[in-house]
Amino acid sequence: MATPRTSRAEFEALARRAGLQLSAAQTAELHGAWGTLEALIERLKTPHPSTAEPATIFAVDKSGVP
Amino acid sequence: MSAAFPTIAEAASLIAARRLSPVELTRACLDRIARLDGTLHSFLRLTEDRALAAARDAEDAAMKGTLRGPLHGIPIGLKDIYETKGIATTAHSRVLENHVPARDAACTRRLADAGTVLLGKLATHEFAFGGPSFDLPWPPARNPWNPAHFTGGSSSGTGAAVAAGLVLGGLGSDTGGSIRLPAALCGIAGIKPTYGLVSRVGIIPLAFSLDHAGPMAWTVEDCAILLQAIAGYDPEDPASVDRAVPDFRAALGAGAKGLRIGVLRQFHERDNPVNEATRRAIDGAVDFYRREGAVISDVTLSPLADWRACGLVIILVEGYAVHERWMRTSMEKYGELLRDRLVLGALVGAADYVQAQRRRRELCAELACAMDRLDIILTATVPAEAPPIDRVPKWGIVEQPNFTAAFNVTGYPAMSVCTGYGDGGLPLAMQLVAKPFDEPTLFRAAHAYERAMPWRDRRPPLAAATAAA
Repeated sequence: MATPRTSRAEFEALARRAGLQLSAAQTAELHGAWGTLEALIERLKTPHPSTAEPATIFAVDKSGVP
Repeated sequence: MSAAFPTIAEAASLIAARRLSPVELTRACLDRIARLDGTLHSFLRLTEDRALAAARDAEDAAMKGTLRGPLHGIPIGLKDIYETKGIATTAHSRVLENHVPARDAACTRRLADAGTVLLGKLATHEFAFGGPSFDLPWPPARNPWNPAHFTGGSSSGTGAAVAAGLVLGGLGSDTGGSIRLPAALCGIAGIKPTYGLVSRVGIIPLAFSLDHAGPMAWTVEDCAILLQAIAGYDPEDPASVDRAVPDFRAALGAGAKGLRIGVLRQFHERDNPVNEATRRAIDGAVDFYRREGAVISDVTLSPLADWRACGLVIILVEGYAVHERWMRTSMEKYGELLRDRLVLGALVGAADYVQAQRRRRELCAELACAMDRLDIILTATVPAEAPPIDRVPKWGIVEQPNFTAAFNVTGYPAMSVCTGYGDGGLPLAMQLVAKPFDEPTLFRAAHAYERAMPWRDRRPPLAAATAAA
């Protein structure tokens, strides 16, 4: 697994903010897996033009429903 | 094919000719389940009484000449995330252990309307995302070709049950490969149709923008028959596309001549090199298509890791959104594997999710451009034969790029087809991909290969033994 850039304390803060109660063992293992996910997330940060639209943009139909 | 293991197409012809009784066919499947499923664990629950009643109705219809079509009287199973009115639908999880839906999923209803005989609900990875897990109320399904090995997932029970001949076909769901992966590792055919072709209504969601429903069966033709019954517009599904449903069997038998096939060697030779047996089998398939008159070229896309990053972030975040309430209040009910994967989804930032969706639009445009000059893309479904079930890495989903998620990200139709058998007799596979809503061409290409090869003549040894007994 890739070494996390997020510190253990920062990772614990993220979990608390999400309202999740993690054991010490869970935190240790998940912090390791988080490093690999962080590396993947970095791959998504390619330089988009500011106008680049996400794939979730929708069109409203006649009923007013997306 | 054999009398002991008729395909859906064969059984339909025999039933229509009154040479095969749907009741006898159903009893034969139930008998095989009784003999094998203590080892395979493909069913979470059987619906034997209902099945026999439905089979008797089908038999009456056959005798009166009022059969509804090729699925009338055909025994099937449903992955246990398809809601079934009055029948528990658990997603293989303690969280929904007592969930009995008040109505059928759209696909459940369509298959019932077609006259299928539902034998029961099939094992899945927990909520189609956590598996193989050994800490759930039910054990994980086992691979019929070697029960010590993994089925692939998440439609694990459907893959195992079809391969062993416990059902003639079934439905799986596919968010990152969950139809195609077990189809590959269990040696059957499975198609993830175009996003929007099949209604998702009443299917317990994993990730809304990636979830696809689709069939799994022994042959390509049987997948086409099943897809014909479940495809079509559903106004209740916001992703459903209102367009005419073609005849999915119309192009079967047209061969491969003239098809423009792009081989995505970059994925399976460079980005995630497959093992020698898988590479040889894929090269053999390419040679077959060339001999048949297809126009072969190479195609290149963004690195596999980009597709994985995009798909994984979306699946984790959308998946956590589905489970947030239960994760906050009853996390202890989840199996370890799903629980820990979902936690990662809780921690991904909102901006990172949007970046994934922006990247998704770029990747969709890139694939559309590549497909502009092609009818089919050919690559691997899995890198090797099924591994032992106790050696599936917990974090493989994060660490190992897969070949299938790219086509969930883009919504393109993709199919896994058996390409033979490797060391130890475990199945090999390839993946074929077509343009959106061009399932007829996908079936045409897959069927041309399948019918020319001997792979469909062989069943898992433990299932074949039931035919000999």
